[in-house]
This record gives sequence, structure tokens and C-alpha cells, in this order.
Amino acid sequence: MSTPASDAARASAIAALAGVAGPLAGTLVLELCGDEPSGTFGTQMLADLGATVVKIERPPADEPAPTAPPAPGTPVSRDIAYTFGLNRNKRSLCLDLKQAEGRAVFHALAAVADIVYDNYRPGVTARLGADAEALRRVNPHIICCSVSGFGHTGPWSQLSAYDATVQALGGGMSITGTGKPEDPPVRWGNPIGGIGGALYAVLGVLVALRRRRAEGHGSALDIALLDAQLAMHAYRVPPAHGGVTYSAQPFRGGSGALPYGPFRARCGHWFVLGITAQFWATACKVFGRPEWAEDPRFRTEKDRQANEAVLNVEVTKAMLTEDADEWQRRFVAAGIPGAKVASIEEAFSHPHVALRDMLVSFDHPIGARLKVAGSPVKLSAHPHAGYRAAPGLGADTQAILRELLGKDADAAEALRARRALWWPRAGEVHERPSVV
Amino acid sequence: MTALDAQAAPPLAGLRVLDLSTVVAGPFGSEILGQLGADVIRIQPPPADPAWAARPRGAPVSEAEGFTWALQRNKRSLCVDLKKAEGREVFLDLVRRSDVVYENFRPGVMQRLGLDYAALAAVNQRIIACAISGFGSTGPWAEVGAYDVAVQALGGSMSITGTGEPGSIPCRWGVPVGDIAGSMYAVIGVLAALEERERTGRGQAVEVALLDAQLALNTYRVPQAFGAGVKFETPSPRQGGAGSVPYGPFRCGDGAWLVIAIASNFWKPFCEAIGAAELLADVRFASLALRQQNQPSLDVLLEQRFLGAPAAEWEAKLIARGVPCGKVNTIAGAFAQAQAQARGMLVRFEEPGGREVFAAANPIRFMGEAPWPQHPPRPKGADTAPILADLLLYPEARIASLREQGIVA
Repeated sequence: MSTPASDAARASAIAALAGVAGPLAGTLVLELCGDEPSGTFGTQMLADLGATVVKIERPPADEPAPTAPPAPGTPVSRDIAYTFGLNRNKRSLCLDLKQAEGRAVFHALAAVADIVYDNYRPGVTARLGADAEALRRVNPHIICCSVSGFGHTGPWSQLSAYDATVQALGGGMSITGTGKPEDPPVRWGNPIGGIGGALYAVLGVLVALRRRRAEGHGSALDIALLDAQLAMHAYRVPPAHGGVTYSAQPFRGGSGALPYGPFRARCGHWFVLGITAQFWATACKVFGRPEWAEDPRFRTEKDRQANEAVLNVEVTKAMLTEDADEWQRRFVAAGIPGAKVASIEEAFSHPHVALRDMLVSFDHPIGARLKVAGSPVKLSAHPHAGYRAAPGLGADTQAILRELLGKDADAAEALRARRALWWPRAGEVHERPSVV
Repeated sequence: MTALDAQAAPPLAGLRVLDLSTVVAGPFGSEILGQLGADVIRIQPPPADPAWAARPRGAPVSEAEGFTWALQRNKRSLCVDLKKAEGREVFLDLVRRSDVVYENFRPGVMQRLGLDYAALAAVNQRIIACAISGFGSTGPWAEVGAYDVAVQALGGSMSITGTGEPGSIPCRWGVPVGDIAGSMYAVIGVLAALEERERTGRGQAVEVALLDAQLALNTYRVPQAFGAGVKFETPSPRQGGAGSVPYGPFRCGDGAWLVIAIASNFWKPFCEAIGAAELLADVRFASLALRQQNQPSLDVLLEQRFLGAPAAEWEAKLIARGVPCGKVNTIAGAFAQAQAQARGMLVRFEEPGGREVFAAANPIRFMGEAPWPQHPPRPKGADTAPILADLLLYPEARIASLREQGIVA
């Protein structure tokens, strides 16, 4: 039995293992996730908010060779970079949940944890003794968050989901694309299927924490990627169920505004316009065509809609007269929405990125310098103070056993010898390439 | 009555949110708080709306009404003029009895109203002040208005969304993820700040910029771009991120599209399910590497095959074998599919006049617990009187005087 003193000691040990200081300090999250963002992106948000997030990972089959540092000046591999994008500020513990001894360690951790977050197919955690029912027996206050493609109920609950199929099924693809009938529907380039689920999962976890405080009991969250896609349609849902149909509208705004969408600038870059009615007259001046404001073909939004084809031809010609950067300058100066279509790299050169700590860099233990996106949640009590690099495989196994479970080194070595646990030998770093 | 019907209080019961936000980037988030049981009070300037006209069953739901029904339900509505000193007094009285102030004005507006975080904390040190803006409160773009399309362009995602054909235009996601992601992060920040308040007794300011939210959604591409030297373009529509082939949208016999994503472990059941067992014996497609190498021939074979039946039929055949796939559903079609129905993802409201309105349900589900009741939107100002009387305990004469002066409505 734990005593209040040991509880307090453990609470500070948990907080000390967090990647950053934040509002969730002292919250222990056990992550049982594959590589996909539906899991790792969600737990990363919790880690960015100051929770102590422990990735529970399978021990390697034997004693693998450590990751060799890349030669100076050579980039890290794309797969290792992937892992970095989704695991900063976390800890890694290697544990075999299929062995009784590994499972016992997991249950001992669950007994002192607040949240267990998985993104396995429904049923998998039950086979590992890590489902809500089993964990409630070791910790009645535990919050279990399960993220899956289709949820734990319904005829498709056992079906695998991929980002592309979730985007198709969820309706988002039917309103994304070039708008030309012969072109295929397009999925959003970022895996919003998984990301959308992770955002709702984090909301659910935070809501469950608040309820636990008020009512004293834990909960089990059942987050489906498909449900998340559906919910994000928001204001289109009521009209869609009254017969309104929606399709990809690359050259119109949601409420029918135009000119709208991508036009090529002189330099070849695309520039996106978003000219709602209130901006039209000023936009005409920015285009260098002030006479359009009084042109009967274009004067009102209705006129512009009626003459959309000719309008877009004229705007296309006008946009070809300057480079995208110049258009950007002019539109910002005029206070009108308009934006250069930035590559991922260009996006992070926006003047606000440095100002708002949205590109965070750190040294990786294998010798490279990597950069990740910062957290968009800016909190007055927690100014940015740097991130912790993503942990190598099993890097924190010993510390977690010692600090949170009070296991001595000999007991840990015995478990390592039986492969119930694993950690890399001193000075070694093991990176796991993504399989996604 | 089943155990599921034994309704506990919703999880955010007792939390009060003053919602000054407008359009999409704010209300999408505050509505989530309302769905989960928070007392969200939407605050708008006078005048109040007259009572909404009754609409008969079958009357259409306009696109403007769609915004209200989707983003303003589960909220109460109060009209108060924040540009007048007496109106600000009413607002600060509300702040004294609330947990969160949530807004998406342009940076500087709250300060000009005398309602920035410092002013709010002066009357309630436990208050959490959440501000959403396009680019944040400082810097050269602070005053620039943000539209979803501009945020998607600046955030990098449009450069990786398109048909994959050379020269094709960059596409934005049809769902306004620029707005939505920002408001989801805002609510995450609010809930995290509430957690911290339990320990410290103090609130704090939460700020989210829509551009920042878009940048963050690039997740793993960021270290890939800034560490692994990867240049991203619009992805090949017919290859998965990890190189899976066959993959992507195929047109079916009814003109609808089916998206497949056939990882190697599904190749055999896939071929069998579409009645193309001969592909399994075809040496050109015997491994992933070969399928990649001979992708043009494979895609043509599959294109012809899929034209032989409607998308729904292919989907049923593949799902029966556990092969992941999906029809490119319309929005209404997405809600009509069996899995969405089984999950109760559509909420039905019935208005007094008989009109039915449907909206998306909350995807945050607690196992073994029934969804909490959802409440229709309220006409502007419909809750002003009870909030002033029952929450702020204003005497009737004061309320009448505020009304006469046009401070509240």
C-alpha cells in the first residue's frame, strides 16, 4: 500500500519525467500506439502540455546494433524524421505485454497512471490485458482513451482504416479537388483522418480528467476516426440533410465569394485570393484594375457569379503581372485576405513563426539537428522553454522502473534477461524507423 | 429503461463560458464545450432577434441557418452592448461568475474595450481568457484578417493537396480546417488551463493563432523537411504514403468513386473479393515492389474492373472480406452509411412548427454512457432576462432600466 508521503514522492517523480513544464504537470499518460498520428499525435499534444507521456514499446527481438550517427552533413532518414515529428517530449519504455512479467510491470504503472491511450483495433488491448475493464481493476480512477477507425460499436468496428479510406467515407473528399468532372476527388495532403481523431481524443481526455475530479470516477473514451470526420462538417450538415448538395469549389468561397482560390503569379507560384464582397472595391485597386469596381459584369457578388468565367480569365491575366511575394505584400498592406501557396518549408519562413516559437529545433542524440513544429496552444503561465528530443527506443526504461515503481537494478536486469523489459546499453541510441 | 438511460450529469456541468466569438473559428470550439454540458453564454450586441417564425415540416434549412444550427446550439444567448460602460459592467459581473472568456476578435479589440486578460483577471483571478486570431496578437501580420483559404495556403497544406498531375492547381480541403483546427486547439488549451487552475487557483491567458494550428498539423513532415531534406509535392493519388499499390480513387460503374488502400497483407483478399483471383498468379504483381514497378498496367486492369459495378457493390464485397476501402461519400451519404448510423452520428431536432433539423453529433463518446441531450440554438437575446435575474441577481428595475437605455436586449 502506498502512503501519502510515497504518493507525494511519486507525484513529483512523475512530474520530473515530463518533457516540458505545462498545465498538465504530474499527469501520467501511458501510450499504447503504433506509428499513426491518430495515436502518437494525440499523446504528443498531451506531452506538449506538460503531461509525462510514456511510450510503451515492444522490446527488440535480440540485441540490435545501435543507430549509427549519420556522417556530418548528411540528413537523417525520412523514417527517423517521421518518428521525431510525433514523439518529442515523450519517454520510451520497452515492455513485452505478451509476457506475464511484462504485463505485471504495465499494471503497476497503470496503477499510478492517469491515462492509458491506445489506437489499436477494438479487442486488441483486451488480449493484452490492457483494456478499460482490466485496468479499472488495478486503478478504478484510470481514464482509458481508445482511438480506432470506426469505434468500438457498429458493424464496421473490426475493420482497418487508412487515412485515405476515412477521408473518402467521411465525405471530405467529395468536396475537395479541382472541380473538373473528369478529375478524381482529392484527399487532404495531411492525414486529417488520423489527426482529426487525435484532436477529439485529447479533448475527450481533458474532459474526462475534469469529470474525474468532480465525480471521482474514471472513464473509457471510444473515439472513432470516422465520427471525427463527420463532426467536422459542422455547418454543412443541416443543409445537406435538407437536400443541399456540396461539391469541390476550388474557385469559390463557402458562401459564394469570388474571385477566390488559386491563381498563378508571374513567378509561377500560386497565389490564393479570398475576395468576399466587402473587399471587392479595394481588391480591384490592388489588381491594378480600379475600373472593375464599376464594371457592370463585376460590380456586385451576384454580377461576379453570373460572369464567373470571364472574371476568372481577367483575374488570371492580372495576377500574371506580378510575383507572388509582391502580391503578398500588396494584399497584406490593403488588409485583404490573400496568400501565397507555401510549401511546407516556405510555410515556416513566415515572419510570425520565429516570433511565436512555431519551429523548434534541438540536437538529436545521433548527432543531427532536427526541427519540429511548435505547439499552437500558447499559455501565459508557460512561455516556451525548449523541447526534449524524441526518446530512442527504450531510453527511459530504467529511470521509469526506478523512479515510478521503485524497482532495484538487479530486479530490472533479471527482467531484461528474460526480454520482459529492454533498454539500450550505456551510450547507445536505438532509433526505430516508421512503418507507416 | 436500460442502464444506458440512467443519465449522469454531462461532464462539463458547472463550467461557465462567456462566448464572444463569431463565424466558424471560434464557435466551432465553444459549441463542443456546450455539447459536453458547459453553460455557454453567447454574447452579442443588441438588438435581440424577434422570436423565430415557426417553420413547417419539410421547410428547407438555409445555409445561413446551417451555421446557427451547427455552431450555436447548446448555448444560451444574451445581448449586451460592450461599447457602453454600463454594458461592460454587466459583462464584468458575468466574468465574476464564470470560468472562461472565449473570443476571436482581431487582436487589440478586447484591449480597446477594456476587457483584456489583465482587466478580466482583476475581477476574477480564476478566469481563463482564450483568444483566437489569424496570426496571433503581435508581429507584422497581427492585424491581418484570416480566411480559411489563406490559412490553408500559408500553412503549407495546399502545396501537398491536389491531383498529383503536373501543373494541376493546389486544392484546399473542402472542410475549413484552417478555422476548425484553430478552435479545437483553443478548447484544448482552455481545458488544460482549467486543470492547472485546480492546482494553482489561478487562471491564465490562452492564445491560438489559426496559422500556428495549420503549421502544427504538418506533424511529421516538418522534421522530414527540416532534417531529412524531403521536398513535398502533391502526393501521387494512386500510391499510399508508404508506397502501397494499388491505392487511391477508382471510378465505378455508377460514376461514383471508390478509394482503396491495399497494403500487402490485403492483396490476396482484395483480388479475391473483386473476382480477380488471376492477378494473384500474375508475376507482374507478385510483390509490392513488382506492383509498384508495374503500377500503370495494374491500375488500368483495376480501372476496367471497377467500371463493371457500382461503388456500393464493390465496397460491400471488399468490406465483407475485411479489406479497407471507402466510397467517396457525399456529406449526406457519409451520415447515411450503416456505421455512422450505428454510432448515432446524426442528431435530430424538431422545431415547434414541425420542421426537422439534423446536425452532427459529438464524436467524444464515453463507453457505456448514453450521449447527453443536445439543445437547439436560441434566438439572439432569448436568455438575457433570466441570466440577468437568476445569475447576476439584478433587481427587475435595473434590468428594465438597462433595457430602456439599449444596454441589454
